[in-house]
Amino acid sequence: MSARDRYENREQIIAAILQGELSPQDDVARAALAEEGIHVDDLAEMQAVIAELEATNLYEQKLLKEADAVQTGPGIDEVESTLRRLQTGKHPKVSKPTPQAPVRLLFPILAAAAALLLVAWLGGWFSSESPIDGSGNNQLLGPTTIQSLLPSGAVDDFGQFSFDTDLAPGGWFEILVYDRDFEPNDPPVASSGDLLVPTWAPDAKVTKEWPEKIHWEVRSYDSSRVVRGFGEADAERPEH
Amino acid sequence: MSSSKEQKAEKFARERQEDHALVKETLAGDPRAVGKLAIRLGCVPRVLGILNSRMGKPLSDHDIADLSQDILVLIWGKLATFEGRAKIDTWASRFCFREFMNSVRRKGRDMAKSHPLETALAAVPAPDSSPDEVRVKMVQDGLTELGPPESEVIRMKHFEHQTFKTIGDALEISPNTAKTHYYRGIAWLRRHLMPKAEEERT
Repeated sequence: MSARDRYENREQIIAAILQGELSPQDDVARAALAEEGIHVDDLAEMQAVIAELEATNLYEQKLLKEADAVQTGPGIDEVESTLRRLQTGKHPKVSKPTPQAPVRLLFPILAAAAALLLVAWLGGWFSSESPIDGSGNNQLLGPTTIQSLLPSGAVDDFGQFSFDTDLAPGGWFEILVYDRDFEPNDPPVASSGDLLVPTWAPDAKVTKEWPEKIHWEVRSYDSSRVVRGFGEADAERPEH
Repeated sequence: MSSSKEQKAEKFARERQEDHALVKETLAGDPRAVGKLAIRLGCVPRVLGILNSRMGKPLSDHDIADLSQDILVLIWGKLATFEGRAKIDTWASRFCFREFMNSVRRKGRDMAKSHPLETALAAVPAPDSSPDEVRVKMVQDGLTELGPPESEVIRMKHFEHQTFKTIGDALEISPNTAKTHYYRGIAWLRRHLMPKAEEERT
């Protein structure tokens, strides 16, 4: 099989050159580079990008190797204790454990929750302070759910972000926007920084560069940097 | 007989699969799995400690302990999305890097607000004070901006030592399509990273 037959297009040929599978001096390689308008300098710059990627990988690996060698600091016991509290929902900052309840259980759960709310209302519990009141008494309940998140669902444009919750004394809000198809280790596409009001209006020129489908999260922090509220929504705008 | 490169790729693949299975067992509520996962995630506080030392200790020991807890909570919340495309400690260390940089940035900003004079006297080192961290952040941010599938292929190729065949298998595309994504991703990164790298140098 000739080199040309192994690849479907010139992009694949250039990928093979970059990976050292194919010499740039090979006739097929030279032809593909010429067709793509790639000169020696361009190829060198792409190799420099690859070197940066390799350097990043080395940095990560070295960091982990150093971490393996460290004998001091918090031990496995502490990490294990945290994970066990998270697994059992007993961690003060915990959301629920990640697996979702089967749909068939949803109705009984909702019914039980509704009954509980009714009892709470009849007991006049709603006359007490908001869950995010800065007293610290409700911290063991975990973060409250932040409601009324906009944008949500199909929208013309992302425009202004807003949500409905109170700011804890000395606290702040933070919005993180992710590509809907994000990988777990991907940083957000955008971050609001610290907000003191429940709205954020990123520049339209910036949002124009965002993916069409986003997932966004808002966290409400108190003055001790503890997450007191959390909300998330998906929004989608038409493709440009 | 397979080459050492292939053997290395197979070894990494096995480790990733084992980590993926461990995460699934943990999420299924297996108490023994949590103990094993704790060993794998024991790197979190240690990585934070190393980053802090490297950057001149901008965060206190108390800050690092808090941050470590926050990151474990964050990782826990994202565990269900872990698909074994990286080893769990590598995956976790990226959370550490990102959250540490954010935390230092936030602390620097808070310090500037409350103690402008001390900040002016460089009481808190800027997060961008270390060239290695700047470069790593630039590459990681670039990959995020690039987005999938190109960023996935590049990560799997350069951070996980996978072959185009195994990348194709994982993403359910042909090896040649993986190569196309790879080239497009590298070309995009070149356009976006090279001018920034030039700015850094000047």
